[in-house]
Amino acid sequence: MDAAIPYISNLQRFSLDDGPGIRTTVFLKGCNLHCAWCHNPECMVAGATLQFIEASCTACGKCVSVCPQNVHTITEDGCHLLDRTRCIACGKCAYHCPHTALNLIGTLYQPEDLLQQILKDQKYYETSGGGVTFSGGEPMLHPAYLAQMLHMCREAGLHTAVDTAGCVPFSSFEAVLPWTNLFLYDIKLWDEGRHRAATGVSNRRILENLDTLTRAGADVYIRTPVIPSFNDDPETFRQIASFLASLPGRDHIRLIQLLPYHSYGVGKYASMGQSSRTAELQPPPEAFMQQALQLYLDLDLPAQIS
Amino acid sequence: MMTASETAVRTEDLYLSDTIRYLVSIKDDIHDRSQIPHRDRVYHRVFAEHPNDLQALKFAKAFSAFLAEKKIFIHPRDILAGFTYRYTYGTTIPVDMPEDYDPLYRPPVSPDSQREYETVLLHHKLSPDSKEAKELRIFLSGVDAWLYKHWFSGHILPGYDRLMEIGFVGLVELGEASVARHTGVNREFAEAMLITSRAAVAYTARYAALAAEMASQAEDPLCRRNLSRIADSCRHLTKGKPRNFFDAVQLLWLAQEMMMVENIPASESLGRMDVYLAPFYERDVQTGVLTYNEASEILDALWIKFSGNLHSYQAVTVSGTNADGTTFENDLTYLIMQSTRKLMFDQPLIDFRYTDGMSKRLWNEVVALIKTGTGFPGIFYDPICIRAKESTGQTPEDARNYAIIGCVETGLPGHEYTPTELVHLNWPKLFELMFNHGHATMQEFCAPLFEDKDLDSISSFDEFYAWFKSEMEQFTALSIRSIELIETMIPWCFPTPYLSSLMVGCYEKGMDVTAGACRYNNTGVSTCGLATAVDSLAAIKQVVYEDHLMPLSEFAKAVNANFEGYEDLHNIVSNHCPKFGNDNDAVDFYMSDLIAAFGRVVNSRKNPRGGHYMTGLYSVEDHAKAGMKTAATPDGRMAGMYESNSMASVQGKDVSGPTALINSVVKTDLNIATNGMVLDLKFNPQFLESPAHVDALKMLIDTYFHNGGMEIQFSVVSRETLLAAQQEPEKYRNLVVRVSGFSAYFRSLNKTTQDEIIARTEYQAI
Repeated sequence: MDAAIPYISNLQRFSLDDGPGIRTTVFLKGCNLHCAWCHNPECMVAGATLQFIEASCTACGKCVSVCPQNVHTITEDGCHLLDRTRCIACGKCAYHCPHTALNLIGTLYQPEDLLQQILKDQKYYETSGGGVTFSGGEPMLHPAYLAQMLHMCREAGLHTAVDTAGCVPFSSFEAVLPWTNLFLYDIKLWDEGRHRAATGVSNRRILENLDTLTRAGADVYIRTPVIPSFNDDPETFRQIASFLASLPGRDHIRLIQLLPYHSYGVGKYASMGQSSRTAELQPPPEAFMQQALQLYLDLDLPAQIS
Repeated sequence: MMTASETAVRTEDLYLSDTIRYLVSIKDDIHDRSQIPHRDRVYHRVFAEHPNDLQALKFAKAFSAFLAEKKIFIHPRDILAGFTYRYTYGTTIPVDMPEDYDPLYRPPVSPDSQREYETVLLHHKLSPDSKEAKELRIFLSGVDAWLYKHWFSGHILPGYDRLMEIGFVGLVELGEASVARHTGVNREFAEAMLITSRAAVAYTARYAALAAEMASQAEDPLCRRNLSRIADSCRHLTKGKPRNFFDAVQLLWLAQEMMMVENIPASESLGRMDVYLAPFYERDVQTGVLTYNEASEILDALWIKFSGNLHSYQAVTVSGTNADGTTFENDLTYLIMQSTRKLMFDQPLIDFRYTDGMSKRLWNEVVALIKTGTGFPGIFYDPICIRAKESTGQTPEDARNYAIIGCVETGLPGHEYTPTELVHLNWPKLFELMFNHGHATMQEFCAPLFEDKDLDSISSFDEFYAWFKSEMEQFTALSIRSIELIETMIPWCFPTPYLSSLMVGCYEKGMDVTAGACRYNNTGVSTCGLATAVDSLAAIKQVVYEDHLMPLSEFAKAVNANFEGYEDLHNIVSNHCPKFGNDNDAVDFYMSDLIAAFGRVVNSRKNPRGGHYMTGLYSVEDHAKAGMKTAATPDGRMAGMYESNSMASVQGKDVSGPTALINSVVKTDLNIATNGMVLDLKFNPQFLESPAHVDALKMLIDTYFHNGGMEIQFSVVSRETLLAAQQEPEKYRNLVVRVSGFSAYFRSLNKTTQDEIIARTEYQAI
């Protein structure tokens, strides 16, 4: 029986930063972490969601006339207000918006259809040593669908990667493990309390899963976003580095990427009717990035700033 | 695989002499406007003095007289003799060009269709009531209405490689032998050419004398040395072939400067400069009389000469495949790209022949140039370009020696005369005509449709599509019949004896180059607004024949009304119909099918000079200009807006990324594009900051080329910069951007073209 089908927010072709080579990254909606700095807020919830780009809106009122739920209001002074609690994500307003200010985020793909989309760039994967990456959100929240997709991609000869925060039962990893060439695995913070405060969950299971996963022989890239005021202290990176160095399966850590915070995602929050907790943040100073990097290199870990 | 860690040297580390810095700083201030109309006045006078001469003799005598009396000028600190910009060309071909334009900007030139029409009728002794004359009238009115773009003059690849071997003196010897050998009209053509070769020697002597005089008075030792070198070189070039690298470059510039006297500065292309200058460079370096940096300074000085002609498509081709399959590269390949990287001028155009076997170092040099954002170089995949040349009957050896003409057209330097810009058909305009019984709605123009239809009698999309295809084919065929009349008129009415003297075969046969004297004699027939037309078809298919939202007549009414009162329809066709460039087979099919059909018409006959008509899939800047004269189109494009550029998607409609766009493009068999094609990709400058992204770019290009791609180029200027440059052009005087098959100063472009560039999808790092 086919697995339940998750919503997909985007198929990013010519994706260059989610694993080796030229890739297609599939973003699955829904996440069990709520990281303050998330740059894909449209993937936080599992269902289809309405995106509203205010800068493109001319307050023409077309959406008001087609919405069955009275979500939209144009005020007398030309302000477009949304009552998102009423929205059923029917997509009528998005279809009729002449300026594409409204977009329905979330498409359902049958596995065969998704595979067909992914295979369109197969020749680029072959030239570049790339492949497909499943990201999100948290793609591991949909282990059956994910395993089916990975299996089909591998059968088609593709290199497969899964981008995960790791906060799922290990049985989910077991489901996808046979079909996954590479995990892009996020380690965001060391201190459990700070991790809980920043992401909403404890990091104990994440760290345990990484230990188990690498001991099971899975290749991983470790990715750590460097977020000012959340984790930009040397102690955090010292702890993470020594944890990684101590793992019995550390040889399976093929690459460690330190990702300096960028603010590209901030604009998305407003369009999803949310507020960003990191709108004021600046990228971390280069000096700190180098300092953090050195902590890994000192332990012979294959780290780089990406 | 190459890694980006092997980056080329930083631009600021490249050599730029104080003299070059100074010459760059003053280059815009030394234009002498008095010579702009002077050229036409001399031509008129000489024509009147020789009313009964063969036209070629009149042109040759006028050329010679103008060179003898025009002002010449050498800046006291210059490194090379000569300077130039446009003249007016009212006598040369039927064009309108004002006498009072500012040489710092591109002059507004438009074809003078009435004069062209009258000249053709007179030459061919055609009655205005003849079928040919009626068709020509439709064609030339179509040019005024931008159903067609039509241009001649320029678009040449003179035999500068042969000139390097024999000099002007060698041309005179060829000319004297030719005159002695020929009789009748061939002898007259030979005499005309010989007049121009002698004029070239005499003109060089004028510079020799001026430089010698200035050198004798120069106080600064460096100026004196440079002026003496000019004097010595020019004096020598009046007696013999070039001896060294400096002679060769000086000769090249003088030859190019004189070319502007005869031909409108449109794509007077330079050929494989790194190949034909190589013997001089290598000999000088070996004998220790020239260093890399000295050669760099001489080339920089040459670049300053080129820069005097804004927007003139002077194409320099570098690298390429050797006979043994290896890649050609030498120091000059690097020096040429580095001169452009340092100076950031819009001239000359740099075109790079991409080979699979090139060195990492060479590719890194190309990447360094791409990163400047100037849009250089245009990148041509050698195997497919060579195959395209072979498909027009060229020998493998000749095909391998191709160089770029103007934007993206290819030719064999010195051996091929191919007016590449004789016609572009503006595909989107066909909808306007088909919806209105042949009448244009934006101007007074009517072209009888080949099959006029009641729109609502069309019962299926297939029927509509067949109709569009048939009209496209017939209007293409009509234009070919008309340019045939024009081409056969040109040698007798608008010959080019100076260009002919440089082309192999003309002295040999006693013929003007325009009459078919060269080994290869092709003609370009090209396209404009391809994706706009394809998306329009997709919109009609969905709205009228699949979703049955309205009958075709109602859709046509909406388009004629510029979608006013049809906002819902406009939203549907703009945002909810499939668009070319997203790897969607259903819509991409129409592109490949229509281009194949176009190519069949173009290939169906030989041109009057025994050559081929060649298919072009590029649109220069015409997608913007034609768009300004074209009514709204069914894809949602509003009246007067730019059309899609060359083989690209409609601007901003390629929402699936560069791989999807490329996949869409290579579904068309590009081997057909014997007159060239353009695919422009725009990247945010940040994209190329990451070495991994630079590597990915190479793989993207490789995959494109290995799957049928012919040409690709990159715009690397951010949208913010372009918007700022539009607001405050004075602050961005030197911003060079890729337009289509060429680059230009952003400020020199009209606003529609600027808007078009800004609207292109900008790929960035995600």
